[in-house]
Amino acid sequence: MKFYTLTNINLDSLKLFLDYEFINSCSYGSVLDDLMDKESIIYKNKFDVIFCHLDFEEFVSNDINIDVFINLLDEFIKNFKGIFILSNFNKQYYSIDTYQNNLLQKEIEYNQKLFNFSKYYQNIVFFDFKSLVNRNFYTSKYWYLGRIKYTNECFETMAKEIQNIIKAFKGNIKKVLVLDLDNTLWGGVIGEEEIALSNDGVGKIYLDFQKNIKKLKEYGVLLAINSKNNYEDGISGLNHNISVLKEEDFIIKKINWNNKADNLIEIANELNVGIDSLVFIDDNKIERETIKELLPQGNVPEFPSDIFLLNEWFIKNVVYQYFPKVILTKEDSKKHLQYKAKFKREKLQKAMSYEEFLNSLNIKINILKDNKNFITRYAQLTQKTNQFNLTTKRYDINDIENFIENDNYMVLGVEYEDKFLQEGIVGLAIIKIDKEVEIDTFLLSCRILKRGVEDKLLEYIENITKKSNKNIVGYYFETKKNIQTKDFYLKHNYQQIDKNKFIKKV
Amino acid sequence: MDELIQIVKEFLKVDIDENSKLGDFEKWDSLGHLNLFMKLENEYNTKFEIDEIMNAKSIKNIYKLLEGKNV
Repeated sequence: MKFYTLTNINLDSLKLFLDYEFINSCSYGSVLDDLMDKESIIYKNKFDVIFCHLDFEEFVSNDINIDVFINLLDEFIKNFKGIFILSNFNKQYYSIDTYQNNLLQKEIEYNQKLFNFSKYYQNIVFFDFKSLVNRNFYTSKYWYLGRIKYTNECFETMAKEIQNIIKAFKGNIKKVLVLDLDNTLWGGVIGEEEIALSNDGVGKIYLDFQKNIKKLKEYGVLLAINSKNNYEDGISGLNHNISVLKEEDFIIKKINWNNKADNLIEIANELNVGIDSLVFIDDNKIERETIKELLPQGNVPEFPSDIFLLNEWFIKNVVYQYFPKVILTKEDSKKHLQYKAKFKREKLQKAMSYEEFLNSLNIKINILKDNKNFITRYAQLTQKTNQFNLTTKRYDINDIENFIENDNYMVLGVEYEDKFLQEGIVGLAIIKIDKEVEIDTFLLSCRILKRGVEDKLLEYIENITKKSNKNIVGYYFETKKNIQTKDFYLKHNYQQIDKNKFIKKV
Repeated sequence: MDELIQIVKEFLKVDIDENSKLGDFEKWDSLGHLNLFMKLENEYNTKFEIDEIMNAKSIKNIYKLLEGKNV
């Protein structure tokens, strides 16, 4: 499954928690470039899933117009066939405007617009990140260290939700919920004691549990019983005057003293579904472990040790995990139409073209020649840059210093700045001037790709060496990560000599 | 040491041993390194300084660092 994160922060850590084929965003925070450039990674690849998640603080500080943004999304999703997971914004509680709530107002407005938009397309699943956030989700330390805004806990939770959404979307969900009786649908052992099932106290936990299960049934999940009791005792529990779940709610009732694994096999056979379509809930650990052992393809979630968590656990770890749904009901479709109309009205501004966008950035590029102040940064760039790096030669500080001092070499650094970013040194070229002009190193930090910087740098090299009347030779050495630069010299009308060598004759 | 190796293996899902270091695996890149330290901070209920994170670039060094923290 090809997966992409469309975002204005660094979400690459997700790949530690998801087993999908990650296509690297290269530069994080490239959401606008991705959307505006019709040649960008999202337009050129057929992704199965795109996860769009924007950081509120970054979005606001970059002063991006939400309507323009949504129009760009619209422009893209029109032709997108995969699953598009659209996350809402989360403003952190403490913000500089305190109780004036200006930022809060913005957040609410943005989220409303995103939500309306999400209803417009059937392949958008709205992801309510905001409600998921807890105080352990953010980290300042790793934000300053590596621009990682979220903790592992956050990424792990996000990843789980993404998986659930994909399952739901693909209809890859379970069919039958199989339940034990004693200490599962009610407290205590029926036939031996008064069971706990009531409108208050612990009994209410079980009553609420039954209500939740009943709702799940209404959503189309089949219910069955697999329990070790006398049949009459079990049925009498369901006929308890307060019981929400009644005998007829269950399509199959295996209330007997047989091995529960055998019962499950029978249930699967009678319903003509696979064992893997069953989810079995039992409070008894030994029963669970036995079934896991005998029927490894079955689904046997852990049961909460703290009974007060029963309903929370059921929704989060059972319903979301095994029975997630995105399919629209008729009622939903009606709403869908209303949202559609609303969104159309909101669609005021036309999307900007990529050229207009680039022009609006006020890009300033400055090329520094043999400047010793930046040798550390230059060395670091050669060490760290993998993607836009044509030769991937690694140099240390001494190497760089030697190049600068050597008259046959020229070290060119690129300084970049635009409306949003003051990036400092983002690119480097090292050229050797001998019989020919050889481009030994040519690299660019990912963050400013597609801004024409690479063209400016090459143009600079060509201009500065023009009067020497020499051929210019460029190299490309393929690595796992730099495929995207393969045609760089060809695009600039260099002639290919062999696999690695390109030439521009005088 | 075995415990540390186990944690790293499970977290980064790569087959490391005690001689492994940052950069040996695609998943143990500079980003993975930071996530790994987040994980270790949680796992051992401790905090690392920036320099500690930046300097402990191999399993052996991480082990030494943890030893120094008495965890």
